[in-house]
Amino acid sequence: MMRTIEVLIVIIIITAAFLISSFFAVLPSPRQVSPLNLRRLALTTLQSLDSDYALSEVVFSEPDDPVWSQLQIALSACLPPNIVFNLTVYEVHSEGGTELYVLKKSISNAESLGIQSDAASYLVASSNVTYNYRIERVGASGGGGTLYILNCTDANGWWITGYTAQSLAGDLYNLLSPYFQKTIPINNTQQLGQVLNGTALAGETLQNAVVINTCGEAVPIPSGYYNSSGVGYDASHSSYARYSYTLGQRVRQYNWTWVSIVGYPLYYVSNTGLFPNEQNDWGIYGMRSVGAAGLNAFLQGLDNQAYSYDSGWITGEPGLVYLSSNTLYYCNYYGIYPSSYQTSTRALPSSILSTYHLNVTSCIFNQVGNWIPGAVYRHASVGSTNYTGSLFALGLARTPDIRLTALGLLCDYKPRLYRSDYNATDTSRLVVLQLGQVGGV
Amino acid sequence: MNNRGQFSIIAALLVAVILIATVIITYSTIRNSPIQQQPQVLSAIDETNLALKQVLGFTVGYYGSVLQITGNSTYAKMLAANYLQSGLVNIGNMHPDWGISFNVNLLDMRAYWFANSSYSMGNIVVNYSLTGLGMYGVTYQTSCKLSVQTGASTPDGQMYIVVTEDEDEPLINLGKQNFKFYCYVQENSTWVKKNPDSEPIAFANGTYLIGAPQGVDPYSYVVLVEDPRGIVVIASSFSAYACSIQWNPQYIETKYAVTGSALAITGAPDGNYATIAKGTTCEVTDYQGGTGIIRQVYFNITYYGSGTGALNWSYRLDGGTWNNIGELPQGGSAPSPLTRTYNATSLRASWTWSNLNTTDIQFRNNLNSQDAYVDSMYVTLLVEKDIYANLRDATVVVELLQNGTMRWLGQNLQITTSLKPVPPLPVKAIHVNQTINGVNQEVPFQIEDWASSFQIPLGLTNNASVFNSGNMMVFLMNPNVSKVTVWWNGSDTAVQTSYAFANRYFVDDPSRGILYNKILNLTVDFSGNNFRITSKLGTVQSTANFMRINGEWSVYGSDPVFAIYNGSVRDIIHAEAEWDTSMGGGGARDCPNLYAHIVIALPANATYYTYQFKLMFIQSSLNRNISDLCLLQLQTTVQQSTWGADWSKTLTENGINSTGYPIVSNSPGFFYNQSNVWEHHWSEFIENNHGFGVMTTTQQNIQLYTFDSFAGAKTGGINITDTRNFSSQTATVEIKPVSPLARVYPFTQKFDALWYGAVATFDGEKPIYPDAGGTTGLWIIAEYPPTITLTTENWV
Repeated sequence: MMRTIEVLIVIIIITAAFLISSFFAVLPSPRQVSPLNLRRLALTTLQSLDSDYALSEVVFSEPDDPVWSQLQIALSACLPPNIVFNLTVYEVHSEGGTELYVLKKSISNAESLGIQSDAASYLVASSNVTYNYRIERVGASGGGGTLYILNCTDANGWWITGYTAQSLAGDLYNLLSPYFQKTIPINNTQQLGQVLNGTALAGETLQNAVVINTCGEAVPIPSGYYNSSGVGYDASHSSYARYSYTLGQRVRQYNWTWVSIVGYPLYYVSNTGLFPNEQNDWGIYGMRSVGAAGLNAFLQGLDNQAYSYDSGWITGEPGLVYLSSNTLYYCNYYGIYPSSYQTSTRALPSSILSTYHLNVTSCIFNQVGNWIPGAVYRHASVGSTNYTGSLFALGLARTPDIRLTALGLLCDYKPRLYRSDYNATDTSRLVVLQLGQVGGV
Repeated sequence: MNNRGQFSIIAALLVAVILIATVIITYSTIRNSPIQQQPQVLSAIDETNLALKQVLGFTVGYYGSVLQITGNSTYAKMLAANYLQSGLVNIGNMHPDWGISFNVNLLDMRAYWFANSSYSMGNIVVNYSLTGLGMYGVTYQTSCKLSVQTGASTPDGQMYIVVTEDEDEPLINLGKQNFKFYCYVQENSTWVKKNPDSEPIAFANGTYLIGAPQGVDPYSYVVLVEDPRGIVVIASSFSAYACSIQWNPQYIETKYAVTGSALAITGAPDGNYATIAKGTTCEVTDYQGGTGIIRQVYFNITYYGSGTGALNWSYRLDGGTWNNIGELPQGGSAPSPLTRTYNATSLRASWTWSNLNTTDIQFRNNLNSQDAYVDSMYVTLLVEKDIYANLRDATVVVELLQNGTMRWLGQNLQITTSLKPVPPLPVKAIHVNQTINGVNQEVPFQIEDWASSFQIPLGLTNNASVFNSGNMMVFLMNPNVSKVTVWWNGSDTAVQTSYAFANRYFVDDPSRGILYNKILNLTVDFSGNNFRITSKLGTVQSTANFMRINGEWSVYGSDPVFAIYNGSVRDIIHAEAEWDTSMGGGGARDCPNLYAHIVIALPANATYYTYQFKLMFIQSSLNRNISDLCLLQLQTTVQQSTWGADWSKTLTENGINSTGYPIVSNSPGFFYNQSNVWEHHWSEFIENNHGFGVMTTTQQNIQLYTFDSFAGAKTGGINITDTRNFSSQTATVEIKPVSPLARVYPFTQKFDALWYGAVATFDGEKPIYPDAGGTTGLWIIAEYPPTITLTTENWV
C-alpha cells in the first residue's frame, strides 16, 4: 500500500517537474530563433543601390534635389514590405585629426523603426570632387585671394632680359591667375596709386593681396601724392627712397606680399610721365635710380621703423644656388619644373630677419652661409604672431624665370590641387541605412 | 527494505530538479545568446572588404589625377599611398567599436595612357584585425581596373571607344560627362577638355559610339575617360607622329608642245585654233624640255566642238598603238573653249625627259558632220628638283612646338597636312626615331623650356614634367632621313630614353666660354663688358660682334647665360645687349628706350651656329634716329696665301634665276631690297671652299627689310666688305636691318622685332656656296628647307 502511495507521489513529482520545466521552456519566437539579418540586408541594399554608382551620385546632391525622393522610391522597392527604413547621410569632416560627421540628409518611410532595428554603414566618395585635380584658389576660405600684377604701360623695367614688363605680366597672368580668386592687372601708375590709397580697382579684396612687380629692379611710382616730398621723395638726399618706405608701410598696412622677381629689389623708380628726361644710364627713360636705399627704406617701412636714408648695399653674391627640398616637393605638386639650380647675385642677408622682424615662411633656395637667395619674408611685430606684410624676393641674376616666381608663391600659399585627405571637406560621405521590421510574427 | 519507497521519492525529486534546471539553463542560453552575433562578424568583414575595395578605386582615381599634373609616378604613388592611408583611417573611424587596424602588404598602381589601348589599375593586399569583434589577421586582396580601347572611326566622324572594368567586364553605364576629349586652342596654346555634344550610344559589350565634339579630329584624338569610381584613363587613338620628309622641292611645270600635226595646237592656249574636220585627227609629239625628276604627268587639251557623234582623245607611248583616253565632252566656243586634264602618271613606271618626247597625244573628231577645233595640247608635270643629291650630310635643326608647328631658323617648315598638336605627354615618355638611308633607328633629341613665345631659352625640360606650351622638342635631320617618328611609351613607369639627355657630341666648358661640337669650336669672350664669339673650324676662324646702333657697340653688364651646355643635340647661350654711357648719355646713341636680347645655339653635327636677335623698342617720348643698326658683324683677317694662291672672294646671293638657283655676286657691297632683286639669303667670304658666311631662310631674308617701311625707303640689307692690305685681307659681313641708305626717324612707337639665321664656317668642304660654282652648298638647307607630311599612327 505504502509503495503505491510512494509511486503516486513520484509520479506527481515528475509530472510537476515536467510542468514546471514546460513553463520555463518557452521557445523563442521563430523570428528570434532565425531572425532576418537586418544589418546584412541593409548592407546588401546599399551595395545594390550603388552597383552602378547611383547612390554615390545622389548622396552628393543638394538636400532639396528631387533625386532624393527617387532614392526613397528605390529603397522601398528594394526592401520587403514589412521593413521600414531610415537612410541618413553624413558629410565627413576631419578637423585636427578628429572625425566630424555632419548630418546632410535623412529620408525615412516610418516615424519609428520599432524596438528592434539594425543598421549598416557605407562610405561613398564623390569622383567629381575628389579625382579631378581642381585648383583651390588662394583666399577661397577667406582672407585675401587677390593677385595684382603690375602691368604699367607708363613704367619701364630693368633686368628683365628678353621681356618687357608687359610681356612678363602676360606670362605671369597665364601662370598664376588660376590659383587666385581674382587677378587684377594694374595697367598704369595711376591705378597703382589708387590701390596704394586703399581703393579697389574691380571690387577685389585689397587686404592680404599679392603684388608682383614685373618691372624687375625698377618699381612703378605714381605721380602726385606718392612722389611728393616726405611721401615719395626724400629732398634731403634727392632720392625717391622715401617712396619705397611708403610702399613698405602700405604693404604692412594691407598685409600684402610684395614680389620682386629678379635682381636688387626697388633699385629704380619708374614713371615715363614723371621722369620723361631721366634715364637709368642704359637708355631707358622714365626711370630714376634709387640704389640700395630703396630696399632699406622698404624694409624700414615694413617694420614700421622711422625712415632713415640708408644707401648701404646689403645683398651678396652666393653664386650657384639650389632649390630647397620643400620647393622640389612643390615642383612635383604643381608640375612646375624650373632648373634646380640658379645663379644668385642679389641674395638678401639673413641679418634682415632680426633687424626688421621678418620670418622666412618659404625658402625657395637653400640658404648659402648668411645669404638667402630667394624666400618669402613675413613680418611680425615683436610679441605678435600675426603677420603684417611680406616680401618675396628672388635675388637671382637675370634673366628672370617667372616659373620661380610662381613656384615661390605657390610654395608659400599652398593652394590645393588634389584633395589630399580622404576625408577632406566635401569629398566623402557616410551613408547609414537603418532597418526595422514591422508586422506579425 | 521499508525505506525503499522514500528512496524512490528522493530519486524522483532529484530527477525533477535536474530536469527543471537543465531546461531552464538550456532555454535561458537559447534565449539570451543572440543568434545574430555570428552574422555580425560576417557583416563586419563584408563591410570592411567592401570599403577597402572602394578605397582602392578611389586611390587609383587619385593616382590618375596626380599623373595629369606630373610625370613623376613615384611622387604620384606617394601621394596616392597617403591618400589610401587617410581612407583606411576613415574606415576605422566609421566603426570605432570594431577596433579596426590595417596593415597594407601591397599597393600596386599602374597606368598605361596615351595609347589606343590604355588602362589604369590597382592591386591591394591588406591584412586587418577587428579587435572589437575578436577577429585577427584577416587578409583581403582586391583589384580594380579601367581599360579604354579606341577603335576605328566611322566615315562621318563618329568614334568607337570600348570601355571595360576590372576583369574585362563591359562598363555600359557611362554618359557623355564621363568622356572628355582633348581639344587644342591655338589662340592661347592650351588643351581644353570637351564633353561630347550628345549622349553616346552604348552597346552591351562596352562599346560606345560617340560623336566628336567641335574642334576634335575624330581620326586622331585623345580622350579622358572617367568611371564613377573616379578612375581615370587617358587614351589616344595614336601613339606616334610620323613625319615623312620631302627634301627636294617640287614644282608644277607646264611644258607645251613644240612639235605637232598643226602649228596652232603647239604652244600655250592662245585662241588660235586648228580646225579638225570630221573623221580626222591632230597630234602633238614633242614638248619643251626641262630638268629635275618627273614625279607626275598630266595631259591637257583645250578645244571646242559639238554635234552628233563623239570627240575623243588618245595617247601613244614610244610609237606604239593609240590608246583611247576617253570621250571628250562637247560644247564650248572659241572665246570659251573646253579644257580637260588626264593624269598620265601611271602610264609609265617612271618618267624621264626623253621618254616624255616619245609620248604623243591625239585628238580625233568623230562627229558625224561637224568640224571640231583644238587650241592646244600639252603636258603639266610635277617636277622634283634634285638639289640635295650632293648635300647628303647637311644638318637641319627642327624645333617641334606644342601646337604642331615645326621651325627651322625661325621659319615654319611647310607641313602639307593639318597641324597635330602634341598632347600633354609625360616628357619622359617621348622618343624620336628616324629612317636613315632606309634604316629605322632611335636618334638623339632634346626637349627645352622656353618663355615668352619661344623667345627666351630657360634650359632643358625636367623629365618629370608634362609637355606644355613652353616646351620645344628639338631634333636633327639631314637629307638621308626620309621619315621622323615621334612616339611615346605610355607607361607610368617609363624611363626617359638616354637619347633625350645624354651628351654624345659636345665637349663644352662654360667657365672658359667654350662650346665645341667636335666639329665647330665656339669661344665666347665675356670678359669685362664683352660678348663676342669666335668660331673656329680647322684653319678658318671668324669673330662675331653683336648689336651696333649708330656706330655704338653694345656692352654686356651680365655674363651670358649658358642655358644648355653639353646638350643632347644643341647648346644654347643667351645674353642681354646694353648700351652704356661710354659714348655719352646712356643707352644707344640716338636710340633710347630699347631692350636687346641675343640667343646663340650650336647644334651637333653642324658647321654653323644659329642666332636669334631680338630688339624691343618701347614707346618713347624721345625720337629715335637710327641710320645704322647692325645685328651681327662677322670678321676675319687672313693672308692671301692662307687658303690658296688667290685672294679670297666675297660671294653673295643676288637674286635667283628661273630655275631657282642663286645668282651669285662676287663683288663686295651692300645688298638690299632692290627692285626685283630682294633675295640675299646668304653672303660669304671664301677661297677653295674655306671661309665663313651667314645664311638665312626666305622668311628671315624678308625680315631683313622690316625697317624699310619705317624708313620709307630701302634701308635693310647685308653688307660685305673686302679690304686688302699688302698680302693680308680683312673681310667683314654685316647683317644690317638699318643702313645709311635711309634713316629710321622719329620712330617713337613700340615695336618688337626678331631675326634668325646661321653663321657657317667651312674649311675645305660644306661651304654655303662653292666658290667654284655649281648647285650644291649649305644655302640649299636655308633656301629650300624640306616639307613635311604629318600623319598619326600607332607605334608598335
